[in-house]
This record gives sequence, C-alpha cells and structure tokens, in this order.
Amino acid sequence: MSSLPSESKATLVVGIDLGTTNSVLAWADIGDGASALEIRVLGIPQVVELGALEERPILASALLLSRDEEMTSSAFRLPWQGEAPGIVGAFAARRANDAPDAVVLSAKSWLCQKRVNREGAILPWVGDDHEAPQRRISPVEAQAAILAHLRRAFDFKMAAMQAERPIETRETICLDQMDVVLTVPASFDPEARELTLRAAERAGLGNLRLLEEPQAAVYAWLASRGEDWRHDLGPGDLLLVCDVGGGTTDLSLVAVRDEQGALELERVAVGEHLLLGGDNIDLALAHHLRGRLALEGNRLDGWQFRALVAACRDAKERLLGPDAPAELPIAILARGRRLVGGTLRLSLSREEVERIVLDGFLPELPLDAAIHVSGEDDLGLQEMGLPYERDPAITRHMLRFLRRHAEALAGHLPARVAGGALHPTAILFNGGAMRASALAGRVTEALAAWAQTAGLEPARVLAGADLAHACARGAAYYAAVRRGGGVRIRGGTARSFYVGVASAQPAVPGQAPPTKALCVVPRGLEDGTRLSVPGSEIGLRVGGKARFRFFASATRPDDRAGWLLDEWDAASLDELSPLEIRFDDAGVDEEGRVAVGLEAHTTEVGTLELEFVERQGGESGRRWRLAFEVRERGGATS
Amino acid sequence: MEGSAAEGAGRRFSLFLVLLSLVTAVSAAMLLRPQVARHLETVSTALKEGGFGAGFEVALRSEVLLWLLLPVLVPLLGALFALFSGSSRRASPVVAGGPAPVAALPPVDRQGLAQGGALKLLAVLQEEARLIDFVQENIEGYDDAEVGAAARAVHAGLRKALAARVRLVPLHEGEEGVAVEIPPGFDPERLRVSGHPRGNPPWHGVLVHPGWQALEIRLPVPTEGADASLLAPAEVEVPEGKGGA
Repeated sequence: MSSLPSESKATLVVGIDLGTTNSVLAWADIGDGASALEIRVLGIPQVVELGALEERPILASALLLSRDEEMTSSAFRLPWQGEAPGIVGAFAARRANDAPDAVVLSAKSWLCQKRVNREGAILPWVGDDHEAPQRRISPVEAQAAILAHLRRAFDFKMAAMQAERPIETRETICLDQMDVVLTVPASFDPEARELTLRAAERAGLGNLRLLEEPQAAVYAWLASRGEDWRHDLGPGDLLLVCDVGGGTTDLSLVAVRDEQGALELERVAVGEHLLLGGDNIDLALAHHLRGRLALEGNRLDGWQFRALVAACRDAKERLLGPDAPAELPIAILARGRRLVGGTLRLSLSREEVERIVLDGFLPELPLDAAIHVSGEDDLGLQEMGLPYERDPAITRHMLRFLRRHAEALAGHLPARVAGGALHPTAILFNGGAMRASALAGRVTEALAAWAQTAGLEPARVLAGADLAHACARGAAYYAAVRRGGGVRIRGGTARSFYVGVASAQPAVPGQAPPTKALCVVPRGLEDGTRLSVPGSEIGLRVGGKARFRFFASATRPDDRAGWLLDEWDAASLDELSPLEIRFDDAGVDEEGRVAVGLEAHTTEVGTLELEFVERQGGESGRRWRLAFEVRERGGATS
Repeated sequence: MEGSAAEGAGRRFSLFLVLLSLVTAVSAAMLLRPQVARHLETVSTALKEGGFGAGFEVALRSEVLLWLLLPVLVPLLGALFALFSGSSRRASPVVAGGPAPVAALPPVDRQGLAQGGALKLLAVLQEEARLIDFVQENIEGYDDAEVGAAARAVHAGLRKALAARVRLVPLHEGEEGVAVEIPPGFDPERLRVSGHPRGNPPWHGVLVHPGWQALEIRLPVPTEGADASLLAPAEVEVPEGKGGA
C-alpha cells in the first residue's frame, strides 16, 4: 500500500513500550510502499556516565531528579534542547542505589495504585519513617519525562538520518506527526489508561493509541512469522500470552476462530495486574547470597548490593539457560578504590538457583491445588506504597487466572475447559525474565501437567519471540496494520464496567441504601463504539457534590449494557476508585436531580468515557461528561 | 603556544590510558583462561613446597608471571615516559566541594571528539568494570586468590562492557596450532611472520595466534562542553538526617 505524502504526514509508524523497568521504541517506514515492513528498534541517546552519551536500544525507565547544580552541568547535556525534570536512562538507573532519594523508579506501577493521589508529587516514594526528599514529582510527570526523552531522541535521530540525504529530498520527521501506538498492561484500569494518555500529552505526544502489551507481543510474533503463522495456529487454538517483565506479570488468552474461511484472533481474557517479575527473582537470589555473606561477617553497602543484584541476574540467566555449569563463581568488588583486598567471593550453584527460583516462583502445583491469594485489604494496616504481590508463585497466579475464566468461557470454548480450568493449546512468552530458558520451561511443564490431569494435549510453545523488544515492535506493526492489511486481534474492552446506583427504597435509619451495579459497558466492546445504555432512567445529582462508584469485571462476559445487578459477590466485581464530582446546572441554582440516560464511549485511543444525557430535550438535551480523571483524594484514610 | 602543548600532552596522556586499559584487559582475560588457572595452581604449590625461588621459577616458565606483571609494568613505564617527556600530569587529590586544582584538558573540539570518546570509554570501563581502580592498585601484597577474585569481577565487567561496544573477530579462522601457508604478497599488517623464513614465500608455518580485529566500535560521545579528562567523580556520601539546610 503506498500513500501519497500529501494524504497523511505520517510516513512512519511508531511503537512505544513504556515499561516498568525499561522502555523501547520501534519504528517502520510505510511511506515508501515497499513490500515487507521493516521494523527497526531505535538507538536511544542517553547519559550513561557523567559527561558520556551512548545510544542504546533500551532506555531504563528511571529518572534522576536533578538538583540545581546538575541542571546546569555540561555532564548531563543532551544533544537536543528541551526542559526536563531530570536525567532519564542508564545513568539514572545506576544511581538508584547510592542516591535513592533522587531517583524515581517504577513510576508506571504507581499509575495503577488506587490508594494514592496519582497526580500528586509522591515520588520517589519514602516510608513515613524517613525524611521526605526535597524534590518529588507525580507518577504522571515521571512517565511524561520518559516519553519526552523518547520523543526528543526520535526527532534527533530522524533529523540526523535526514541530514545524510540530498537536500531536496529531506523531510522534517517529528514523532508528534506520526502514527504512534503506546503499549499498556492489559490489566490497566481506565484511570491508569487515562493517566498514561495525560503523561503522553505532557510529553507533547497528542496523537496516539493504546494497545495491550500481551496483544503487542502477539503482533510482534505475527510480524516475525509473516504468512507462516497460519501453520502454527489453527481454528480452535487457545493461545496463552505469558508476559513476565522486570516488574510485572501480565497474562492474556487469545482464541483462534474460523470466520467464513479466514482465521480470526480474539483476545478473550486478561489477567489481573500482578506486581511480580524478573526483578523479584534477582532480588530473591541477592538476598539469599547477602544472608550467606552476613553469616561470614561481611556486610554489603547499597552500591555492593546493586552489584550483587546485577551479578545474580547474569548468574540466573546462565544457570537457568542451556549448558548451565553446576556452579558459578561471583565476585563483588568493594566500593572504594581498593579492589584486590576488599573483593568478596562467593558462588551460586545451579541447585540453589533451581530451588530458589523454580520452587519459589514457579512451584509445581496440582490442577486442583487450593489457592488462597490474600487480598490487599486482609491486613488492617499496611504500609502505603506499591501493593507488591504477597505470593511470589507465578504458577499459582496462572492457575488462578485459568480457573477464574474457565466458567465464563465455558460456553465459548467448551473444548478447552476441563477440571475447572482453561487449558491453552499454545504459549507465547514475552518479557526479559523469560531469557532464563528454564523459567519458560517450568511454565510449559506446569501447563502440560494440568492438561494431562484433565486428559488434554499439552500446549506447545510458539517460537520466534524477541523477548526484550517485542512489545515495541508489535505496537509498530499494529500501527501499520491499522493503516490497512494484515491480521488484527479482536477483543474490545477486556472487562465489563458498571456504575453504582443507589437503589430506590424507603430509608432505614443507620443503613445506607444498598448499591446496585448498572452495566454500562459490556465486555468486548470494540474501540470507537458509542453506546446508549438502555433501560430505566436514573437521577443525576446536579448543583452539589456527588459521589460515583465504579466497578469492573473480567469474569462476567455475558452481562449486557443496561443490566442492573442487585447483588454481586466481591470476587466477581472489582471496585475501581470512586469519583467525587460536582456537575453544575446552568439553569438551576439549587441542588436537584435530573433524569438522565447514560452513553458509553470507547475511544479510538483506547480509553473509556461516560456521558450523562438529559432525557428531556432530545438532541439539544444537556450533557455531562464523566471521564476517568484524576481527583484529589485524602490518601490512606479515604 | 601553551595551549597546543597542553593539548599534545593531553593526547599523549589519553593514548597512554587507552593503552593501559587494553593491556589490563588482555592480562585479566589471559589470567582467567583455564590453562593459566592450572599454571596458577602449579605456581602456588611450588611456592608452598619449594619456597619463593621455586615458585618464581615455575611462574617464569609458565606465562603466569607475565600476565600478572604486565599491568604493573606498563603503568610504571608509562609514568617514566611521562616524566621524561616533561609533561607529567598527575591527578592531585580532589577536595570535595572545592574546585579541582588540576588543570583540565581544553574543551573538546571536533578533532578532539575521538580523544574525548577514548577518554569516555575509559570512564565507562571504570564505572562498569572498575578498570582504573584495578590497574592503579598495588597488588604486590596480595595472594593470587585475592587478585584472582578481583580479576574475575573486573573481567566480567570488562567483557560485558566491551561486548556492548566493540565487535571483535579473530583475523584468522584457524585454531591455534594448525598448519598455515603464507602466500606471496601477504599483508604484513594482518599477518606477522615470526621464526626463520628463508627466501621468498610461500612459507609453511604454524598458527601461533589468530589475531583480532574490531569490526565495529561504538565509543561513548562526550556531552557538549564536558571535561573529558574527568574519568570518575569523587564520591561523598551524606548520611540520613545530615542533609543540611
């Protein structure tokens, strides 16, 4: 497909993987009408050492908040102009251990942390018992800083490439003019998506779409396989995408169907947001070794511990990879100038790594294993901060996921449900943690064992995944596919959404009226759909503060818009953060209720909007828009 | 002109540093080869059983001594060279917070970019593999196990750091020890003929070292206006609660 430059300025498609630990940008030229789409990963200029820049395919999602001295120092001068709250990339990530008060890490995970004000200046996060750092910024600002770095790096590199061309063929290529797709976890709630968009806007990226990360991994695999993918997947296949990144684990199921002779892919289930990833594994190994050093009377400082974590990551990949040795020596250098006398020596054996990593993070479980995943509210008091998973067993989270969706999908995929769980026929791995091949092997074995118990064939592993760059590549491929041609994954919204409606019943002293849940968006609503929620009128409070409650469910695929749930159990509906908002009525001053209907809108961008429409007045009726926006909230007490 | 003299000295200094780093890298790599590790054991056994003299003899016969001494000898020679060329440039201790009393290299110009890149490569090798610390340390008083432990960490860091920036390939695809024919008109830059060649090529010999070539190198680029001579900052840790006003 060749398009004239005058039709659209976007001659390039761009995919951005804004990861918890690392970010990647991939791009491809679609303007030249060439046959195969060549997706390239951008070398991102970044400060790697004081006064030294390098181009790397990966930008660490770390932000070193600069002090005044650093803002003006030439040691941090990037080859482009532009305001930034600090330094992004490899150097910032390295400083996290020796200057924890100045480095923002894992800002992405904070975007889906419901209990804090996500637009408040809360990062770097410190517990209550520590002195707050002088400078802090909001998770949105931190994400914006990373995206701004990517945008400027892209524009800079494109300008450098254009400068090599003859002057009459040169173009100005800017990221904000291109078709950009940004990946987010499938488990991101509407608010986290909205906040991601807000960060993108702050970074000067007005024009983009969101794509779920596991879907991006599938697109990357489709791009690498070309037309051959039809040999690997057929009608009736159920693909599990197992994406274990540095900080998070994201699971999705994609079904393959035959639609009038053509294969069609549909994302049928997404997992919960799990703050558990490869970094946890490296930390577990490092803590294990630190404990052993402590027994010998050796204490590590922060700098040495970081070196130990890095060494553990390498050792893990080596010891859980092919042709692994039985034991690997590890040396940790002292921090000062004296190396030779102060080096700590230790070794890590394959047996230890297998015990800690495989048995700790990927234990073997029977299909009927009892699973209790403790909710975050089990404890009366919990330190604020990121709700890291208490249970590190990835296989247990997987089994829980496969069970949770079994009932809901039994009608759609009867052949894949047995023994109370879903059984995929194929697995696609993604994420840097899976570079340790024994980890992927253990996941495959677990699935095979469950399938065997249920009397089904084991799932096969789809080869050809580019673990570290797949999300960005897949996002770029998706952007190209949207321009025409190629397979698209159907799926729409991953969950159904509900608003809380107070039931009309006589007041009972001392009891709040029970809340019913009105389904406003059914699961699977495609992007770009506007839907008028059928059913009875509801009264909207205007002229005063009103509180709205929202719910989402990944396991109620059959609920239709307009259904009013009188009762539900907490396990099937997750409450999202509530919204307190004041709608004003231009005509009326006093508080009152207006009879409204509801319209839901899944935007092309990938976010959700709700609108209240006055019933009386027809087309010219008043409208109140309810975007999933950020609001000031009281923190822990609310 | 004083400026150009200082620039020349700076260039010599950086060349010397780059040479130093390469030598150390090679030494560390050599020490970690399995056959050398075996020699190390023999040497230590000889030391235990036969005293220093016997140990030294064994070390001399194997290549261990060479690789151990190389990183010590080269800085020594370099220092002598610098002394005699009259442009000794020793870093004075840096007082935290105060201005560094060392005369800085002139700001890097276009021509100086390559030099800046070499210096920044050193800075990166120091940060990622502690190369300068390792080379600058006096290892005389330590036993081989201690040196070996540090060498292992430095080696791991250097290996990763180099692999990320330089694509190294052997010049000759043969294994060491294979018979090689040296054709007429061979390229002396790619092939060093040692031993006793007579008359004109072709000669027949044995491959002693397959050589190395850097097919690609990606040097760090100094940021604009940065002082490329700064290889590692002095570090001061502020304890909690003493952050000041």
